[in-house]
Amino acid sequence: MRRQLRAVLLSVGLSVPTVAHAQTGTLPHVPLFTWEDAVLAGGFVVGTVALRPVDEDFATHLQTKYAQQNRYFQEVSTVVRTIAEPGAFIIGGSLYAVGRLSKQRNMADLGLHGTESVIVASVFAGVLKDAFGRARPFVHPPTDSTGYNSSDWQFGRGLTKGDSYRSFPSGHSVAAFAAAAAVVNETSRWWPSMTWVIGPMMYGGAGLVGVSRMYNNKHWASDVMMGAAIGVFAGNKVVRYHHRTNPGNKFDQWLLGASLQPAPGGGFTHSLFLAPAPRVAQGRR
Amino acid sequence: MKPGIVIVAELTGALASRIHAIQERFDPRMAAELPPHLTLIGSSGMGPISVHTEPERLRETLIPAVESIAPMTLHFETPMRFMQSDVVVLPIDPNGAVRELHESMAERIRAAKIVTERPRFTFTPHCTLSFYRQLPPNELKELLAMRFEEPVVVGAVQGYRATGPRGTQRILELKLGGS
Repeated sequence: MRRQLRAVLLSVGLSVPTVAHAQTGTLPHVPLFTWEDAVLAGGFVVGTVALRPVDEDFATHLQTKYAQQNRYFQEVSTVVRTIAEPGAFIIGGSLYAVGRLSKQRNMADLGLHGTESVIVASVFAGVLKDAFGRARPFVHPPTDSTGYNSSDWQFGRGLTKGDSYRSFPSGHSVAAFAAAAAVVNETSRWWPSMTWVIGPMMYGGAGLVGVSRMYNNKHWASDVMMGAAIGVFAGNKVVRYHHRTNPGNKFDQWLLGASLQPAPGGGFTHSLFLAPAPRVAQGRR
Repeated sequence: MKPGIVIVAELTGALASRIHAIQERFDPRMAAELPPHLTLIGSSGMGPISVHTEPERLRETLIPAVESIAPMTLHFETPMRFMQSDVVVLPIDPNGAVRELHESMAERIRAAKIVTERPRFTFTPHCTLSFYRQLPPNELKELLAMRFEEPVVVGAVQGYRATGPRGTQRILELKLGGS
């Protein structure tokens, strides 16, 4: 089982630990998956199934002329959607670069693991999108003879018929929740007392992204719920993997342990320390 | 018109003539720019395409998208002020085949890395009746009271390049569903 898990992690860009236990210090080893994860996953699956019967009701309410002709709603939905994608990659990459240049380990850590969470979650969600082949809400408008049809699924259609049939799960929600989960997990290590502020702010923002996708008639409510599940899982797992399951793995050593500094003559110099990078204080996660 | 390339579906027949006459009366400047049309790319949903894009490259990009969608018949809803502004439009249902056509073209344009501006609004297809003028209340009332029952047949899309405040040039036409 553990070998299989390592193979999966390798395939999505994580590295196998080599010096993990040398760096864990007093922190106990935490497995990547626990029974609590099964409970969380089960909760999300139940939520997704529960939303299915009301998918069309949500779409109907959000597609009224009153809602769609509201300039404020339109602009907010565009902004939050852009922050999620491509914003999550740009913000994560920038945090990493600034953190490395200014030698702020926590910032670089946040940028790296946040971006990694979004990539891992997006790759997984992309496969599901192609496989489930669910029609987006706009494909069957209420004016059709059938009206909205949230039950239009076909295996593999996402690959053959294009993006109009890649509704499930919501990719923007995946990215937003993955980034939110990574940020909440990372920051709770440094500022545990601020989690009650950062958590609602980040997950609330991610929730807005999901609503914006429904408002744009690109996704059903159940797509957003499953997107949130995948995102939260990816964010939690990536941070746990790097800080509790396999701290000091090669991936972190390479990307957080090396130094990138401005050179006197312009450009940058890059130096790689073979010794493990110093660890910052670690909390529960 | 703002510099850029837009992809539109020109209206045809008696409906087009009627709308053009209305545009000439209420907004002559707009009427002179383009024939009556629905904007599919270049306004809501996806902003204008870079004016520097080669027409041939754009044509090759759009062909698979346009060929995958069959010709369609749409219906105008009642005239309204676009997003509570002074712009008066004839909206159509943004979902169904017309949205699939828009999304399909937008997907191909993004995949081809063709530069476009960011849109402010989600795809809201419409035919604009008055754009530049701030209509006096009586004219606005008259325009909003008009009704258009004739079906809108979309069988092809056209590309227009706007290079300056006045000039527009048609650079391509593609028939839907390969027809």
